[in-house]
Amino acid sequence: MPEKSSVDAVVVGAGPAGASAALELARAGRSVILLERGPFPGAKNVYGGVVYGRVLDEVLPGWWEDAPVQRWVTRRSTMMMTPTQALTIDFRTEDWGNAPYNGMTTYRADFDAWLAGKAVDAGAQLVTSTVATELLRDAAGRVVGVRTDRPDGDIRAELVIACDGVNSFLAKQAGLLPQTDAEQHTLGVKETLALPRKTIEERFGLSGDDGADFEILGCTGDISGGGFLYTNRDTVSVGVVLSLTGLAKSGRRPEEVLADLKAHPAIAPYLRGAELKEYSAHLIPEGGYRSMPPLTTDGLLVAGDAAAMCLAAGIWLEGVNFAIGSGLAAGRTAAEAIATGETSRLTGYRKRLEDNFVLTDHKNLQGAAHLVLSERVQQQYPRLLCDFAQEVFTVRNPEPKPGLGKLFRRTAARHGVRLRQLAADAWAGFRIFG
Amino acid sequence: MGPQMVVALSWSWRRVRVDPLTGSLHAEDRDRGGNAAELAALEHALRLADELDGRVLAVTVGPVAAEEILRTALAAGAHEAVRIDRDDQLEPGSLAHNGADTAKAIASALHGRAPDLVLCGDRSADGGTGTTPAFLAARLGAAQALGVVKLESNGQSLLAHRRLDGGSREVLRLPRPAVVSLEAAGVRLRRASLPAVLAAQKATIPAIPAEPHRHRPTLPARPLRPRPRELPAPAGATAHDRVLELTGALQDRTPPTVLGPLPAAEAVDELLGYLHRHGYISGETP
Ligand SMILES: Cc1cc2nc3c(=O)[nH]c(=O)nc-3n(C[C@H](O)[C@H](O)[C@H](O)COP(=O)(O)OP(=O)(O)OC[C@H]3O[C@@H](n4cnc5c(N)ncnc54)[C@H](O)[C@@H]3O)c2cc1C
Repeated sequence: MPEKSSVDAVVVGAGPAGASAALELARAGRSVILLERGPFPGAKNVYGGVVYGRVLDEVLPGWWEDAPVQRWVTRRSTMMMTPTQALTIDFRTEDWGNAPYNGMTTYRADFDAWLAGKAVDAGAQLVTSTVATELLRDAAGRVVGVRTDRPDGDIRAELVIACDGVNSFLAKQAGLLPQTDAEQHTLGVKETLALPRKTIEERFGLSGDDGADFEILGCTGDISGGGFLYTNRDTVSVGVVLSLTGLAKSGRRPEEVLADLKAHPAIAPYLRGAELKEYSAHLIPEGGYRSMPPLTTDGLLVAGDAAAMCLAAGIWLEGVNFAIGSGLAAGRTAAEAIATGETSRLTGYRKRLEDNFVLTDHKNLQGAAHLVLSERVQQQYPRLLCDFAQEVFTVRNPEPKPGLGKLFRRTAARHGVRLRQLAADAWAGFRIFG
Repeated sequence: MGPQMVVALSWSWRRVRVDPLTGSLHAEDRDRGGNAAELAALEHALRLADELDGRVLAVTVGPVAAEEILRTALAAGAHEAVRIDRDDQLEPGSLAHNGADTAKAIASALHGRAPDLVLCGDRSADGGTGTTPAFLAARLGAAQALGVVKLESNGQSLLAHRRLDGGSREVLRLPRPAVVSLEAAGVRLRRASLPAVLAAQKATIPAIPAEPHRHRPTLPARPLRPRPRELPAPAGATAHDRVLELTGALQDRTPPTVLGPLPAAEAVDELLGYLHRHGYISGETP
């Protein structure tokens, strides 16, 4: 006789947030079901390609020994572009190529499956190919489980943790997230392109397991957004992130914007002869701190992208580490609440997040998305900086070399950038990032 | 008691990449599993079991990870599952000869049981030779039905609907025991209930050790071609005549040989003799 589906907690979504929450609950000795709609964790997930694993140190010491790494990021470039120019700040360090490492490129299908495997090893029950379709509530309106799309598919639980990603259906059903909010989302589109390992190493100046991570500004035309290019072992991933409202207004197709980036003279040489393996697209919650929903309601906690915890702040696009951080905190809070029977008061969750990087970073960088997506940072400044660099490096003898200050003022004037505005933005930037 | 059925589920590589230069094979472990035809076979078995109070045993030959497909079968309603513990390497030899070895492993695992029906998919996703059912039938001394799209019972016997070429159908009355290869036609495995999925995850699946795969040489990569024969140059006076002579156009041809109908063994002898005479095979005919 099959058992009754009743557990301490049910975690919906086996992405990094869900797997981490389930890991914590299982380690605390709680019975937990981890639901995933895909045939395996990571089957449906899209991202750019870099995971910052420091957050795992505490829960999976030495995680880098068996994590499914493609490359360790030892070269990080920030590129500013106009259609014909590119100005790059290129940073490389050997330190990031040694344990405990800084960032790794990895495929989500591998990484998510690996992390969910850790939860399963700890005792969580992973149920794949199963969609949570509804929240179950008791007469008082408290969340007491989820309904799934399987026959006899109700799971009753003390607590539900919604880790169902951006556009979280469960957080919406709980009334925590608005039904639609295009303003707070961007669309990420990405191609994975195959190149021989040796070619990647030659073109990107890498060797062994070293990897490169390029973040790009000014590559999305008149649509606010950004771009990225990451190296895996024998593929590279290249993509753009586009403001949804800007995309709609432009009337352009996202793949056209990506094609333009791939054809850019600073990018095309890296990709020459590459074979397209995969095209994917996914929403990103870019609203950050200001768009975060309430993180709990009676019987429910929300973590990861479902709670808009992806950090998109121009030079950073980090979601996986934030998803893991919030998932771990949700799992710990849930385990404690179940142990004490206080499953209605879940305030410890927010406190935990405020005490660690998840909400601290989001809070500190809350104005970043607004600044980074502004017309000036998107359009004017990349043009100004690229032109300024061009002026500086153009040799015009027998004309004598101009003073840099004068040159800058002249270039700024040509681009209609007022120095006061520039100083105000620099100050705003300093306050946000400083 | 109703029919005792065995469903053979493969643990195949569903997508194999061949390096065009080295010929080496690559596949993701994650991409291993059964295919639609096998799951259709399982569904047919479960339907017959429901109708006739039969029992279904799900069997796979594979490593521990292959338990996943058995758990899928248990969740859907199979009564028992057995894994035969062997992990075949991804190399041409094992893919080409998998049928014989898999059948041997399954037949020896069934030792002592006398299933009425063994259901298989028509071919696996990787080797794709479709030979496992034939080898199984030979080992179990069972009848074999290929290309089956529907299985049903008419009260007394089990009927197998076979797909024939040109859209025709044939209905066979199956003797017992019989090995049936099913196609993925119009039947999908039922969706297991959540409690059944959870129970199946906890089920203990017995594993029977199997002999390791026997290493067998594979065929050379290039097709066998008879050596070219030396021919005299055409003697015609004009280019037109020489072309006609070379191509043999306008000449009488050897008419096609119609043999038979002959019993299978004689037809094979005739064919082998023909290939031998024309230099396609040499040496002793096997
Ligand atoms: C183009 C792009 C580039 C990015 N680049 C990076 C990067 O380089 N580095 C980085 O750290 N982050 C990056 N991110 C952000 C990162 O992908 C997310 O922040 C992160 O995946 C969030 O993890 P999560 O567990 O909250 O959600 P997800 O990873 O989205 O996981 C949610 C899971 O829930 C499952 N699910 C959803 N609904 C249901 C349901 N009803 N029932 C059952 N299961 C369900 C889904 O199948 C999925 O497995 C990028 C995102 C995009 C789109």
